[in-house]
Amino acid sequence: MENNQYIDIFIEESQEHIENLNSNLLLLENDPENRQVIDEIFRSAHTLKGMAATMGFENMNKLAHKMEDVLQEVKNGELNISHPIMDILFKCVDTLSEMLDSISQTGEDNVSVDELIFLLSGVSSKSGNKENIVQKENNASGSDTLLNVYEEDIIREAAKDNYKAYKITVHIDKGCVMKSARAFIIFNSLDEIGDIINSSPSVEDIEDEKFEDSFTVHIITKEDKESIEKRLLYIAEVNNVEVELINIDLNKEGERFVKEVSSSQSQSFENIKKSQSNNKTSKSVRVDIDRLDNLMNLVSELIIIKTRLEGLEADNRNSETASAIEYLERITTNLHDAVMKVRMVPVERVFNRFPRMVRDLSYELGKKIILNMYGQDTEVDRTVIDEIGDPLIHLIRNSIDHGIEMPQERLQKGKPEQGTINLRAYHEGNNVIIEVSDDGRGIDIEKVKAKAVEKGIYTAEQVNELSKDKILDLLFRPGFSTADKVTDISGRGVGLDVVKNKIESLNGSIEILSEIDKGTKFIIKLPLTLAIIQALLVKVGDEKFAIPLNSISEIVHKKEDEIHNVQGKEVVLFRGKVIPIIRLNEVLETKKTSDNGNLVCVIIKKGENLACCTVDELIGQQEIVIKPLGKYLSNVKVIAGATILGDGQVALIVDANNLF
Amino acid sequence: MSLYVIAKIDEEEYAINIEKVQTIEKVMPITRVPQTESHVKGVINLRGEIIPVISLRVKLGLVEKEYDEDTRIVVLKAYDMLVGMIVDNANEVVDIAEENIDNLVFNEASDEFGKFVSKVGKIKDKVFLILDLKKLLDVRV
Repeated sequence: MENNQYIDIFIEESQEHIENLNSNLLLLENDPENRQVIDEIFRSAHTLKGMAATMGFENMNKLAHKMEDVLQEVKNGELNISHPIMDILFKCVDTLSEMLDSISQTGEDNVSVDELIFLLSGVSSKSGNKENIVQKENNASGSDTLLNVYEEDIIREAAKDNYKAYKITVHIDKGCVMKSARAFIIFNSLDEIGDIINSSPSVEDIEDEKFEDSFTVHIITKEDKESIEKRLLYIAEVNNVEVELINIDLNKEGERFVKEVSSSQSQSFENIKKSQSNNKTSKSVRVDIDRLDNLMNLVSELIIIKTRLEGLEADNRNSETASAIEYLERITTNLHDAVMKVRMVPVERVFNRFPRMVRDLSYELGKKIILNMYGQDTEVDRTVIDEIGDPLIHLIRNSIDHGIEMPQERLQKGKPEQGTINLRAYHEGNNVIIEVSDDGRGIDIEKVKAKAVEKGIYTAEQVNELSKDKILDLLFRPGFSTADKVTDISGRGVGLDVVKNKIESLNGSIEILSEIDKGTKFIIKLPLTLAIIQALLVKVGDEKFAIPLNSISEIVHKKEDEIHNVQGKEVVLFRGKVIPIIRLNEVLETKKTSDNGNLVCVIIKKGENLACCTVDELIGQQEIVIKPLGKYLSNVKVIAGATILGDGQVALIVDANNLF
Repeated sequence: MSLYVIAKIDEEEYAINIEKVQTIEKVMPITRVPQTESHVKGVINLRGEIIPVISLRVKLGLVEKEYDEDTRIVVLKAYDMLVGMIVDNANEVVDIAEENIDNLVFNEASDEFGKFVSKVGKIKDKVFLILDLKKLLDVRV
């Protein structure tokens, strides 16, 4: 089938429109008077209808068309936004998205729409007999010209000054060589007698000759029908002209918008022209992610060879090669940055689906919840974006379900009736931080402790000695949260351990802050990029290891006699804090090193926690390319991957997060 | 008709279906990986790719032997993984006819290598033990 090559584009674009519909419907629900949003929704529905029709998806076309009808009424102010209407519209969007899933899987939109169409017809204030004139015309002519509400208002306004509105369809001779030039003459000629409100195809498309041999314009003018016809037919190569008078119902609805829309007519024309030309001017190319991955791999290879050249240069000093290598270094760094940027996507893509989810869940549970989102334009690597959605959904669901209390309970506690969930994304150094916080009831430490004892993880005495952080950390244990609703974070089979695993598999970390009755905050820290990182190369025993720079806090020297033994564990005092010693030669099973009483300590951090890793020698900071160890060795916890050094040697990357 | 790479451990000859062999390499520097079982020797850099390496000797419960000129790393490509396998020698490819391959019933308790061999192939009066890669690589499906 010829359509096959377009189906991917169709699916992707439809997805965008459905997302758009979702987010705009949410906006509309909170601000039912917002004209711009209604227009936006209308446009998405309209486009979906058009695309579905082109691709031959009949059900989708039908549903989108019916939605469009109802939206048209809303747009014209004939229908007021109410909760039932919103619910139906949301259901329509869900069904559209269901259809799209079905199309991408089976190639057919076999989802029943009859019920929704019936519902839509039910809310529609007029069933057929009062069909809007503008719309009827469009249906009749089959063209895509639609007057938006502003354009209608212009017509209404103009009518007061005895201007008349016409819809003009011009047919140009099929043999015409320079269609766009001809069209330009026609436009000019029309401009002389009045004002062109819009055209279909758009002016840009006509200029680019993106039309067959006819186009349609709406115009307001004082001239009558015959003189327009005469005027246009006078132009060479114009075959035929259809001029129709447009009757806009002046009394209906007009007044209110007229006042709103234009105090000065010409000004509003300007705006329309501007908004028309602003449409779809951003230039972009869709690229398959595999190609980007390939590009990224090549850049990685380039960085490895660059590092190798640097090594060679250090051995035989030659100022010519030195400067050439320096230049190469600058280029590879820029190239790396550029490729990384291409792979970056704003977190908006993930965040977009949350408002809808919060709305639905809060209705379901009878809670009142506002979701605030900050930093949606924070950019993250594409691979991270794809993976982070589910963990975030899990955390937000937890907040809604267990965090935020019922309205009465909140009032009793002296909190505002409406609960708040804040979703925040921002950059911090080489990391992206995503925070999910709520002002709900918080996590009851005592209950978590009791649970830990009950599960036999700790004894009652041990539990009382644990710090608050350690106790909250228990929630990330597999199987800890699933049982009865002891903690505020529970239920649904998948626990926080799944969230944690996912985030750690992305080389990230997660921590909880919680205060009873004040709320809970999850802080997720993710690396900006997964493939190339800055790392510190160290020697342990006689082997080289890399420690990611973003998990290093600082490097200090300690003496062996500064190490104390507390409860069988080695600790050291660091900036007034007692932190554990991790002897890397033991963890990494390397040779025992010469013992001269001096220790080189790399202080690593995981959230608020610090630990002191002993190494034998610091080699230096280097940009490294992370390569996975392969599936066969996927269960080695302390190693995050490997990297190839300049001389071709393999150095393992220590997973600092798993050393704690 | 299918081709098999013959890998030798001492005098025993093991056959590996050639379609499961990506390449055969001489011994190269191996970077040890901590917290792994004793048969995992580490990882190698095979033209820019990191590949785990295991020792067939250790896997079979035999004592290790110094690597020498004949030692080879047979890089296996099976079950979505690349794994290098160190053998004493691998420089022969044989053609074993389908009808000359028989299933083998081992006494699991007594035969250490029975764990990794489930078939034998015959060429004239010579017998080859055909390695069962699924068992060898601990693939759990």
